[in-house]
Amino acid sequence: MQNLSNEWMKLIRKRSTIAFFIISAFFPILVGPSVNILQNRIGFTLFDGESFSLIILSLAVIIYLPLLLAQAVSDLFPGELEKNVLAFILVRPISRLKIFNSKILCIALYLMTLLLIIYISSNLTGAIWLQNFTFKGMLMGGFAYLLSWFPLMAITLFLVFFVQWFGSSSRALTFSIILYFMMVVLPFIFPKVGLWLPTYDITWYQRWINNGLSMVVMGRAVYLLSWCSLFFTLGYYQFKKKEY
Amino acid sequence: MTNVLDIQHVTKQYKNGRGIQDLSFSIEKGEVVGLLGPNGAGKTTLMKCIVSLTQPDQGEILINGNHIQSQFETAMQSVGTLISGVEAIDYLTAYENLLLSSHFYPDLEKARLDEVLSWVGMEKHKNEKIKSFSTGMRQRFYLAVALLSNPSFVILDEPTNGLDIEGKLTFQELIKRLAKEQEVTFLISTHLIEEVERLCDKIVILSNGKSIGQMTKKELDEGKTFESYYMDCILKEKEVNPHAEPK
Repeated sequence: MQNLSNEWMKLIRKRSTIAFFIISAFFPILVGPSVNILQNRIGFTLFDGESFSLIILSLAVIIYLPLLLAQAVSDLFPGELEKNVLAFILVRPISRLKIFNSKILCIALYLMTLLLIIYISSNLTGAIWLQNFTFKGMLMGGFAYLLSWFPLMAITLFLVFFVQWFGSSSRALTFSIILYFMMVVLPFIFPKVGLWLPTYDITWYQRWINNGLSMVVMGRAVYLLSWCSLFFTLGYYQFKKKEY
Repeated sequence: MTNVLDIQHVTKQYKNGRGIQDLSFSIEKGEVVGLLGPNGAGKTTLMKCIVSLTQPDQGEILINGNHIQSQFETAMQSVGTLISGVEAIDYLTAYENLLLSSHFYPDLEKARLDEVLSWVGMEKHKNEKIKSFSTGMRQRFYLAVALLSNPSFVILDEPTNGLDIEGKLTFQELIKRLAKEQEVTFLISTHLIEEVERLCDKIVILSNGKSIGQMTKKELDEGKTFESYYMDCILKEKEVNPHAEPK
């Protein structure tokens, strides 16, 4: 774990990371009053305080968070390769497996932090600006945010494997965005293909909330776990065989 | 006595034909060894193989008896490196970069960070970001990183590149002092023959990826220098392989 603090330090010292933390905090704060004003004008309640954090989560998991993860993955893998920074760590007495693990854990921690920021910010906004904010809604939201971490990590590991084919972070980021949008769009054209992709489970917290712990949900959890194991192994293989 | 470095029949061929072929030599404790050769001779490739940044196609590399591939962490615990082209994190300060590197050596005291920075004359710049450093300042900083872990074996790839005269002299004094007082072993790749004459106990000459000569200071004929030995080897190689050009 000696490299996890290093990876975290590298990530949070970037201006872009701080900017994303701030944007994540302000996004629900800006949306909340806008929704409130709109609802007052039309005289119809679209969202209340109880469901507001879930509305924000559904927006975040589909577009915003995957893009931030693609950026983090592109920076930590091809970005460091491009700047010859990776070799600076590789010549220290630490195995490549430990370095790879620490990078993945760092991204996992980054995602958790982003989810936490959005969760706190959306709950505060819901409590201040919207009607019917409840403790039950807050707990349910917390559960949903926690659950969302898993499919997003599956997408992250998938991207980690692919971005290592690239020698530049900007190309890797562009490819990641295209790949992600293909994964989102493809199920609309070929519905059966969608079942095989982790994007199918990106809003799986809705299934958990609606149906509880069902066989379908358990099956998807096992599938996501297998997906994570497969792409962690393939990603590590790519990382290990690379020469500098 | 175990050699600090054992290179046994190491071959590494890149797709463009460059690389090293069947290299073998060893370095004993406290020796300062110069790796010489024209551009493209394979010096950096060999150094990258030693620290496992690239994997040899054949052969074995042992550091203090530890196989570099199967016992990487143990082998690298006692090694300091300055490899040409490898960069620190430029948006962090010199001190933060050293701190980052220090996490891999659990027994290292914080005072060591300031000590190595003062050795290379960079203590005043420790809170400046790497991206604001000139080439010479970067080189001094990388030398500090190489010496950070109190290594018993230091690999330096063209360490005086970009250094001013004062920087070169400071570097040479530092190498001499560490080799003499602490028996630190050095493998230095350089183009500067006067540096080799001043510092090295032994030289290994590479040309087109092959070793074309190895000589210790003790074994040199009277009146001969490393420079004359180097020129003899290069001329002999040109006679044997008149059409051999750096790939």
